[in-house]
Amino acid sequence: MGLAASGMAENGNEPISLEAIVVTAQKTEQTLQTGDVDTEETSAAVVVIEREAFEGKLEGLDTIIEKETGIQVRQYGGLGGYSSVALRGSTSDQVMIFLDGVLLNDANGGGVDLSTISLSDVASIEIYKGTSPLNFGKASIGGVVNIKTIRSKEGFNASAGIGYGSFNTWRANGFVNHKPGRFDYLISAEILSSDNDFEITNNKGTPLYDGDDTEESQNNAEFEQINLLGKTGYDLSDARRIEIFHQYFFKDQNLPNWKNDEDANTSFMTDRNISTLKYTHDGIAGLPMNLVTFVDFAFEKEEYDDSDGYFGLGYQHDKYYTTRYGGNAYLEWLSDYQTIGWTMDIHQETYESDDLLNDEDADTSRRLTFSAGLQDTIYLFDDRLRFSPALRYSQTQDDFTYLVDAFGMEKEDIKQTSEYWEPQIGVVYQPLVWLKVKSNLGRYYREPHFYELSGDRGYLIGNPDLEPEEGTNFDMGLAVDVRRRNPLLSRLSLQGTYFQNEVDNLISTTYDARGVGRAENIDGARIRGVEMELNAEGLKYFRLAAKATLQETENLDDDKAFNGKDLPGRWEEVYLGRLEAFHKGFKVFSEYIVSKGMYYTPANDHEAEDKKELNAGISWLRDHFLYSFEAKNILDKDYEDFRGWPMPGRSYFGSVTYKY
Amino acid sequence: MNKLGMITILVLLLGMLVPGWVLGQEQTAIVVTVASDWSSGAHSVIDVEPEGGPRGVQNSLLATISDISVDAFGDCFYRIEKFGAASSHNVTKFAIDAPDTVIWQYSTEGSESGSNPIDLVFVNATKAYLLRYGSTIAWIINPSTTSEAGFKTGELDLSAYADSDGIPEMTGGVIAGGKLFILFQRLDRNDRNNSWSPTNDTLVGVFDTASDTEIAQITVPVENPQTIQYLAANSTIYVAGAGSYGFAPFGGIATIDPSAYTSSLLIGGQPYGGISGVAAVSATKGYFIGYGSWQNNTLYSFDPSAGTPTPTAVTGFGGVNLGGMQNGVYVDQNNMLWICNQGDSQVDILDTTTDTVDESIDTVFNPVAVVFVTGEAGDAGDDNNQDEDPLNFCFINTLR
Repeated sequence: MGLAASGMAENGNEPISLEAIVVTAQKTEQTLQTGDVDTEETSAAVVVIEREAFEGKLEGLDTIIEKETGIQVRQYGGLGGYSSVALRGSTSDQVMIFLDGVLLNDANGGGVDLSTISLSDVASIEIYKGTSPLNFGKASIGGVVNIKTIRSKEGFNASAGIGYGSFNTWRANGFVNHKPGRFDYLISAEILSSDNDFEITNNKGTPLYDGDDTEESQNNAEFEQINLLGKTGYDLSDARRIEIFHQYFFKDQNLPNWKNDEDANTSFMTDRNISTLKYTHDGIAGLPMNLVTFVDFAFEKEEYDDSDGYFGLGYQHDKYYTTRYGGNAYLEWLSDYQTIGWTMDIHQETYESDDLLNDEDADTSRRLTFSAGLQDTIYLFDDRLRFSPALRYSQTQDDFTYLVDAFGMEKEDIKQTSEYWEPQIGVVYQPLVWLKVKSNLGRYYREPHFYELSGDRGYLIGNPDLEPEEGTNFDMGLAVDVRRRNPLLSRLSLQGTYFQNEVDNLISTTYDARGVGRAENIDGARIRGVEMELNAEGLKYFRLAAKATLQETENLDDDKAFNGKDLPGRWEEVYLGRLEAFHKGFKVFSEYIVSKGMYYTPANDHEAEDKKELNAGISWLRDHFLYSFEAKNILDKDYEDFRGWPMPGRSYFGSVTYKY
Repeated sequence: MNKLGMITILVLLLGMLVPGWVLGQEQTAIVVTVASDWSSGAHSVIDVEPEGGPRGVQNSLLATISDISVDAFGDCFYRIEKFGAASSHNVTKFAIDAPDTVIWQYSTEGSESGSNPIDLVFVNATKAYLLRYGSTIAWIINPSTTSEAGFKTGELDLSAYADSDGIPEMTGGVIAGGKLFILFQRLDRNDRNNSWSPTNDTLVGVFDTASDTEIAQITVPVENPQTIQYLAANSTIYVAGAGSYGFAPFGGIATIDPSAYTSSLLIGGQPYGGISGVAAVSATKGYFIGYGSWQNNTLYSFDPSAGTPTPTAVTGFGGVNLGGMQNGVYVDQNNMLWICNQGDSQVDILDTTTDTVDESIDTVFNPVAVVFVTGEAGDAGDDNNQDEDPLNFCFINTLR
């Protein structure tokens, strides 16, 4: 659910660039394909960010999505730094991230690092808060982020751009797409790099003594990344299409250490390939039945090199390999009164690691995941009321080596199977054209990761008895969208959503007296809040947006140090105000974001500074060129998403994009 | 002898017999505590008196990172922040009458990175050795300094004790007979298959505290040593070793003769598990913690002089999560042993005469180390700026 703030181009009804505020539940610019969630029809609370909101910008996925209600991103400092997303107070582990239907979360643990997802080839970002539509192969407690890459269009399209900004940040990107007939191809490429040497205050590890503090540039934080996307497709008929696409991502990221050592040389490299073969068939056998199915293969290699011990305790140089392959099918039956959707997904994942310092190979872990689901969307009262009950069944078969003790001195091979049933129901009621009410209720799981089940030699022992995290999510929202011919106020939209999530069996690492950690199920948490949004267009050239997320979290852990406290890493209040002015090809904007009330720790004994960020920018679309310039954190406020990892101060970025 | 002389002698005798706290020498415990998920740490201040309780307690003072320890000298205590990001590799000084007011906080890094300070061994009010687990160099510091420039006064180069990874892992020290004894773990951090496991002999280096020169080097017959303690009552140093985690054929308790520089095994690691801490209370009674498995530790009592008869488990302290006694003997002036019960986030105060719990005190976080300072605790939040005259504090000999 969201409200369109998209304007109309002078030459037609195509949405034009309106910055990141372009959040809409209306039909996207692209034609829906079988398997896509219809973001206008779905009951799920969804935010859609179109390419126009970030095209040409030197921003990452994290800074694009964090301006929406109910979405929180935490970053380890600067462009390219590790960043994770949480939806409505979830953990990042509880958010499933898909790239063209391929799940990016891996079974070894942790949420997806958003900095490893380039925006250069992204067409749109869909964020489903608290609800996981059946169209996706996997559900979880937080919800789903679905990233769609660019799809081929009729004719010839191409673009090229270059950008430069503070901290010696460079980007060059290009794109070409040709669809002369049934055959089409698309190639997109991007190179992005930054020194990330922004100014920090180095307290030398003594925050209670200012005498040794120094102002200095951040060292060893540079990164470079390459993103390539190739797609080719062939329309077998008007109803059948086959596509092959391959995405390659490479990133070499240096990691500054806490002391900001000049000699630090710690690095983390990511090398990822995703190949997909997709077949779509609409109107099978002349029936109102559509099918989309794909097989995919993903291989990711990561390398962490701290051979000189600048980052962690001791020396480490490891490689991690994750291989994932499988298939997915989505079949839907359409009628005037209902749409029945059926989905099936099966994937095998293998994880292994190498210790390059000691030429030791760790044990291989494997997980086979199967899920199937059925959803019936029923339309009543001339489609003014829609019910969407759904049921998903998931089964995971794990095969891993459980480290009974720290340092891997005793091991035990474990094979185990887990099953989950995940029911959900959504309701949409639209009594008037300008009024819509939505509500969702669902139960979701987050199964334990290998990291939690098997342990990690030297730090954690395993716990094969872990139960999955369980979440019951509820939301109810109301949206008003009024359009008038009044030039003073041509459009006004309001929306408000209440959400409440009850999470049980949260998995948390507990350490014993010897400093040996073990993942344990704790009682859980209760999260509730309100998301509010106002968008107004008027006076012909202006657009105003105001958003707020008010959230209350309660830790239900039995641990008396944590019980009743706020969950760490979640803002209690986030406010955003944004004003845009546009005329012909010119557009200027300014936005102010205030985030308050976050603790870094479960004991709530380290409170984060309020985050106050003022951004502004201007862009000019002339002929085929789009020029843009932005200033971020204009007030130069210091802030840390993670304690001890400062974010950049004031910075500037400019870019030029040529579109054919 | 005239009356005045007799009265003087009587007063002096009384002064020797009456417990210190009666004369105002109140003893107070400082307990550093850590959240169960290691997300943060703090310290608690607990009154040692009265026996039987209820003892006064102030918890969760001055939150910080979780990898912390504490040492004490006189009426001051020194919180050591070891390894972390936001606040680490430093020492912070407090006085007991304002237990959350920082007197000073100085980095232990110098030109190095990852010094990982782990222990402070006091010679007197103006000299202490700062053991740095991640370095080959121990610092000599002046605890009474009033400036960062006066903090570090010298170095002890201990690179000769390093194992193959180049770091000797100095982990604890004691002063005995005017000499400094430093315990080296010598773990090999490079070998992942045995990372941080004991693959080298445990060594103790002996140094002259006046000249800061090496006197002797002692090989100790236990691996992966966790703690070193000196018992003046029998002039013996005790070293507890964990062996490999969870499997302790080479762990145990060893003794060192601080005069002859010899060491021998007192108690083997089996069947007690890795021995993570030892507290010799007297020449005939001591305690140690055996680490069975995750959150499954047992407190044993033993005879520090002979090691026999067989150590016995203390009732009520079997199969629980007990913190080690890594940085000292947690015995107060009433001969009560303070046990870090991490299963219940409390300190259990054990009467060593009867082996019964005198009182359990909630510390909110899990207690990890205890020291005792001389003096009565002030209330946290008191604006008692010690910077003005720090030399008024900390002249009493260490209790370690």
